[in-house]
Amino acid sequence: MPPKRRNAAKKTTQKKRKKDESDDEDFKSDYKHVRLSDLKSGGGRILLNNLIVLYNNFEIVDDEEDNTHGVRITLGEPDFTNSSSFRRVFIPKEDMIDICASHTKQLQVFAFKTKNSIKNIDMYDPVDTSSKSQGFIIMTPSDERHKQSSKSFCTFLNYFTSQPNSCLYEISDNPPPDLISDLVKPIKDATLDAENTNFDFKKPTQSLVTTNVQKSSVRRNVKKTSSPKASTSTSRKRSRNNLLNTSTDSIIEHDYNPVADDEWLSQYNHKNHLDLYKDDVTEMNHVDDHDHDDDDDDEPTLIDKNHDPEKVILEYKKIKITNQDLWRCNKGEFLNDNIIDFALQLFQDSFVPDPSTHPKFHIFHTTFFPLLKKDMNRVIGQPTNLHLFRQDFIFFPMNESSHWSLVVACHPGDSKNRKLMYCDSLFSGTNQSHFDIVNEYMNKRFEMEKNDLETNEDGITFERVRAELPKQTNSCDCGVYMIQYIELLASQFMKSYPVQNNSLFTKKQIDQKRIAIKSEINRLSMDYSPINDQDLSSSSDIIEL
Amino acid sequence: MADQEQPTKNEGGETGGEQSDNHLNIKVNYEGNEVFFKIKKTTPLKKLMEIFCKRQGVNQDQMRFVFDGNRLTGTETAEQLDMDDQDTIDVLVQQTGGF
Repeated sequence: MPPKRRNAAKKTTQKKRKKDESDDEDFKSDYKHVRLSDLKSGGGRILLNNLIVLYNNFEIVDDEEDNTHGVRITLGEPDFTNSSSFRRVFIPKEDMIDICASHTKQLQVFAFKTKNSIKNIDMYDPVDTSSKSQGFIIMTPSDERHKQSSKSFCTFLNYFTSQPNSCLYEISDNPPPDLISDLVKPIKDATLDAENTNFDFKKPTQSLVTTNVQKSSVRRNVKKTSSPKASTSTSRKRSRNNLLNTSTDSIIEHDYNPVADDEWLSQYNHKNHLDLYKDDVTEMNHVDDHDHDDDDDDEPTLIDKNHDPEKVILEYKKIKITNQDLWRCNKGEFLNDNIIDFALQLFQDSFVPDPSTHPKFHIFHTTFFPLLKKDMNRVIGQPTNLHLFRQDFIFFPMNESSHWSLVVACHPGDSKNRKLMYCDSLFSGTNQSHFDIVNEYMNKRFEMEKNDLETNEDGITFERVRAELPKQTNSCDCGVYMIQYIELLASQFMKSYPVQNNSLFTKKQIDQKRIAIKSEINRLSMDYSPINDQDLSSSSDIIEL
Repeated sequence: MADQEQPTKNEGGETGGEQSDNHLNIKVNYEGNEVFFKIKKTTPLKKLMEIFCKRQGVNQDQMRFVFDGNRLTGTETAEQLDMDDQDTIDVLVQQTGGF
């Protein structure tokens, strides 16, 4: 788009906004210009209505080198037995109009419309309200009802901007109307009936955490069942936590038209994302040659199980793994605490160290560091019955701003060699506040343990160092790198510390790690049967005070 | 266990200062706020988790309940965990990371 046009378009947008503002008193007008790179990626859920709201897993792409700018989203039915069922769609910035982003303290809202209508879009929605980087995408097809939806759209945003500490940004340009109408495809009324737009915005005073929980169901009729994937889904229900009170008519029927979908996909499909998934499948077969070869034939049972994202498919040492968690093992997805704890637990259970040659180590759960940060005195006694100062390595996995990193306390009992080693697969600095917390904890533990140690030290100090290890080249793998770091550092003594070895493992091993974790979960989940505990408790058994 | 199990005679009797019955007061700490629950020692904590998440309007499978450094799955009871009156269960939100 030539620059001149962009400017003109921008003016239009602002005009329109102003108009909406006058329509709606509360609407804020303090737009700011923001770059795509200022936004973070996130996950979310769908609110299907006239206004198609996709609160979904998305990734902001803002690559100067490749000249790729836009949003990548994950589409499709989650079918965990077949990685290629995940469809990635890349929407270039040029195709996005009316882009708005709103930041509240807790939530980032990212909204835009697309030039082309996206018919029957259905997504797997990992609900994730955990970190600030989460947000959602709103996409509305821009047709003649454009104005109407625009109003809802603004009201919707207004809901968020009315939250404390929030502001509204406008980040892109609006193409001239004639361009829109050229590109717009007719949309079925069932999906986009204006009657369904009745967003009932009560007072936007309710806070995000206490919003209505309501169930809505999505019915999806499969017309063409030529592909095996399509035949597996007929109807399903999902519970969702509506951030808004939508109209009572929340059941929307969708005609699923794979052909149209594919057309749209081929148009936007980003590079060879799908091909990458194909690699996954072949590699998996290769890795687990004997027990997974015939997996395809067993699919029906697995697929049934996999339809509910929140269903627990495995409980391993108190760690519950749901379908959503498993889905995170796929290439390109962020790992969560469940997967990390599971993988590390599995490592500890399968690795049998030889005490004469292998290090002694302790790996903290991912839940430990947040509690340490929150209230150290309360968790100082943990772990009980373990002498930290008799270990060679203590691993503290930590998560901040959707990024996993690691602090290792190396040789804490050795006054000459004790070090705190920071391992980060992305950033090259060190995080002093993380060091400080671990240092304080270790010092307090020293006070507790020193009577049992043959030492005459009064206090301890750690040298703070940074390890140089292989780094991630994408924006999704830090969790896998962290697991890999821990497994390597725990299973052997390195020549020296801090470890300086950028070729300790390869990118391929990282990809394989994902596949290995996924297939382990699949394997173990075969034998898992949830305890059917009947709820015999009466209402007097528990009272909230 | 046997010495704790007393036949519940006090039907309408208000609970005095002491926890003479089979109930415990448990604190649930979430983002710095504490919510108090009175729970029967033999009730699986699943119940508490459900009520807590419902009240907070949060999705239960995004929440991690931790007691004494261990995750809770919900099948445990206060008795099995050797919980004392006024003990705290911590609730953490799911952590994810990639970049």
